[in-house]
Amino acid sequence: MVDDIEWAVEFEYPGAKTFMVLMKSLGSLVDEALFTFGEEGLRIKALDPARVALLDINLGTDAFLTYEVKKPINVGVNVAGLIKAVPTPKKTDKLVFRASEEFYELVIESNVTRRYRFRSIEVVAEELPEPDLEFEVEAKAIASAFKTAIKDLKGAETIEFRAQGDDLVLRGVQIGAEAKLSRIAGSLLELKAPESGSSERYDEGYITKVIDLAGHVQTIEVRFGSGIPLNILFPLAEGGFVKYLLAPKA
Amino acid sequence: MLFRVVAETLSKIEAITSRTAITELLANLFRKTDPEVIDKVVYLIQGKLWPDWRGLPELGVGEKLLIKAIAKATGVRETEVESLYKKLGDLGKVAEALKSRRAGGGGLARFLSGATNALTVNRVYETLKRVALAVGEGSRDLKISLISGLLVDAEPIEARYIVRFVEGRGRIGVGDATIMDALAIAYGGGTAARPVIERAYNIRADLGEVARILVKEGLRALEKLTPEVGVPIRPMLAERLNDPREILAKVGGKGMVEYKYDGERAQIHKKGDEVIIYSRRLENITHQYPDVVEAVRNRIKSKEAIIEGEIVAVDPETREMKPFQELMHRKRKHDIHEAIKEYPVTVFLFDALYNEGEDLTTKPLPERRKTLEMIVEPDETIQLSQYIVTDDPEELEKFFLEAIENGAEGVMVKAIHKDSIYRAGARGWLWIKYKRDYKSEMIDTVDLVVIGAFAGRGRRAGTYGALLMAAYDPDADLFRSVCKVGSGFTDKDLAELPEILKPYIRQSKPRNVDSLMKPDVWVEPALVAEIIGAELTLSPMHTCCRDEVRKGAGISIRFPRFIRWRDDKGPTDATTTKELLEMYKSQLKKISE
Repeated sequence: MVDDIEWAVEFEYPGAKTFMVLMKSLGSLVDEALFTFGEEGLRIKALDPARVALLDINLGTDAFLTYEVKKPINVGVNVAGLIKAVPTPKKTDKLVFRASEEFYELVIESNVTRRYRFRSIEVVAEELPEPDLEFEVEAKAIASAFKTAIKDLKGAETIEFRAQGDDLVLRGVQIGAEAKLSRIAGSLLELKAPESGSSERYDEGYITKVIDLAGHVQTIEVRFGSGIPLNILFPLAEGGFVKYLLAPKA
Repeated sequence: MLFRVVAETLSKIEAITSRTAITELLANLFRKTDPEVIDKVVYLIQGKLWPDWRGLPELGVGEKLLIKAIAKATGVRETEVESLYKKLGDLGKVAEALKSRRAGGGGLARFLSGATNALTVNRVYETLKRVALAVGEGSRDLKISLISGLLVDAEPIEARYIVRFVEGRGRIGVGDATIMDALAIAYGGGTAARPVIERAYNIRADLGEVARILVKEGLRALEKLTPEVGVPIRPMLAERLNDPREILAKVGGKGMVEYKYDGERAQIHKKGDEVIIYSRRLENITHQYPDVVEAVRNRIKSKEAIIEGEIVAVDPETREMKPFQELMHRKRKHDIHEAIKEYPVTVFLFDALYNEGEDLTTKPLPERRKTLEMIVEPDETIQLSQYIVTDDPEELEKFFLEAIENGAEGVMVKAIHKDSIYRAGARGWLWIKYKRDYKSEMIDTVDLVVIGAFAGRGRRAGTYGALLMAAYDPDADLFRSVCKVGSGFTDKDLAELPEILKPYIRQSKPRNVDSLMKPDVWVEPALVAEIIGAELTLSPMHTCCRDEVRKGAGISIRFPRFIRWRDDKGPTDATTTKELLEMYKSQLKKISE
């Protein structure tokens, strides 16, 4: 073990479990990712190999208990390896993350302190411009209800998102099942949609890849429109947010 | 550069058969190609991602996986892709049809400001490279995602060629020759430049790299190209003839006659401690021969060299040559170190193509051979090929028979005049192979009499390593030599040999023995052993039936093996010379190749 490493970055994150869920969602899309540590916090942007989905993790400095950056660096992380090596922490566990140009380590602090050190890898930084979209439908929903709805449509292959009246309807195309989030039932908090309604179809498998994130937030924001991607925003309880962008199904 | 340009050219080529028209289309494509990706465009036209000799994986994507990727990219069910496949019979066309049906699909790229979803040659090539290199857990899903990612952004015509390429059906019937013609037209000023390009390709077997040098540095750079250690040279090939007189005439009256070893041709590249071995087909076979690698490291004095030889399986005890089939044991991927012990090899070096920065391919053979002899320190594993220089057809024939008896396939006759350069990638009359037309397979065992013994070496030191065996000629009451047998003995057999032979050892040749070969000790004909071999062959070294089939040659056994002692037989009960002659004639069959 190398002990005389001069760390360029060190942060403490209150929810080790949430962090690992973030890693698992990231790992469901890519094997390797570039972690960008700057003065404003940690940013991880990853486009899946099929170039259909984009995950944007944005943890500002306020999301951390402590956040210290001696110099901004990019760290290539073997996400698949990290997920395999680090067991799921408990809800109350705290995470310390340190990184240098060459190494990064995760320390899970609870009754017992566990330390996992990895060598950073070379990850080609792909230029990923910001999406420039105007969504027809914007909804805010209870995260757990949305998660249940998606889980209920498992195996549907394609999910049609439809704004209809005061409801957000999710229809599993191949299985003919529907789940409804409504204002009356309290599962839908806000809905902005054209009067004529709007709908689009998205790949169920790609939504399922990140749906566990919904278990770590109170509410989510869902945006979509005809012929444009689905955008789900997960505002994390610990601070910071995750944006997920998914292309409409061909 | 957009991939569509390549796909459209491929589509046009597919519709025509005229080679001239195809060459013109390719030349136009090369003119339009960005110099930065010319190598990739050439590989894509060759239907590969890199030259085979790099030893990198092929795409390795099966039909089922490809169907999944097409379904995922086009938003239809796999069953629909399959049924369309049954109808069209070509997954490339299936992808094209589905893409045409569902225009406007696509990945995220078109929603990201400033990004484009148009496929570039670079993106297609790099993505396919990732598909080929993906291994381990999760690689299957990754491959599907990568391919579907390309197909999502592909135009219908692009989808057709991406799918075909992934399927391994990327070759469109355009050979390397046509690509070279097109490169000559586009960047060499016309077909007159073709020989320069071809020579460059022959000494650097990477057409993408040759194209890159041509386009970026010009024809003069190609003219100056020399071999590079690590990049295989396309091997020089030989014509075939069966008449020693005619062969010698073809090589200029006098030539180097060399054993044509029955093994695997190997082009060996050495750079410091790094050694790479390429096969005749330029595949990287280094992993099969760690013993040769070690020998090259220790026994080739040059720091940098490219040398050629034939790797031959040899008997672990006697180091006698064994048939080519024995090398199959070296094809295994695991436990190669076990195979080294059980199936040892010797590499017989016959040429040097490059040495310490000097291109030897343009030098005559005697000069190359001299360099080779200077840089090699032979040992058990690394040896120089056996040869004679002659202008006498009879001497050539004798050497030919001796080569066969010793386990070679025949001989190579090579020109040694001033123009006897190494013609990489070419078949010509500078090298001529002389192989047998017929062989006589040995079906039954024979009982032969011990007439001599050879002292053992290595593990067999202190005992005998081989026995000289004879058949009985009742007409002359003589025991005439047939073969030298060193294989088939168990350790116990070998240990007992001195004791068994002791009573019969003689200081001089017994009067009833007829042999040209002189063993270390003579043995009074008394002991009979059962022997089997691969075939009966003609040999200038043995006296059994000498001059009866061919002048100056007797009958011998190729790859003989000891089976057991025949204590129940006396020497005159042994197989007779007449019986051997009958066996030879009855089993004589034309060798089909």
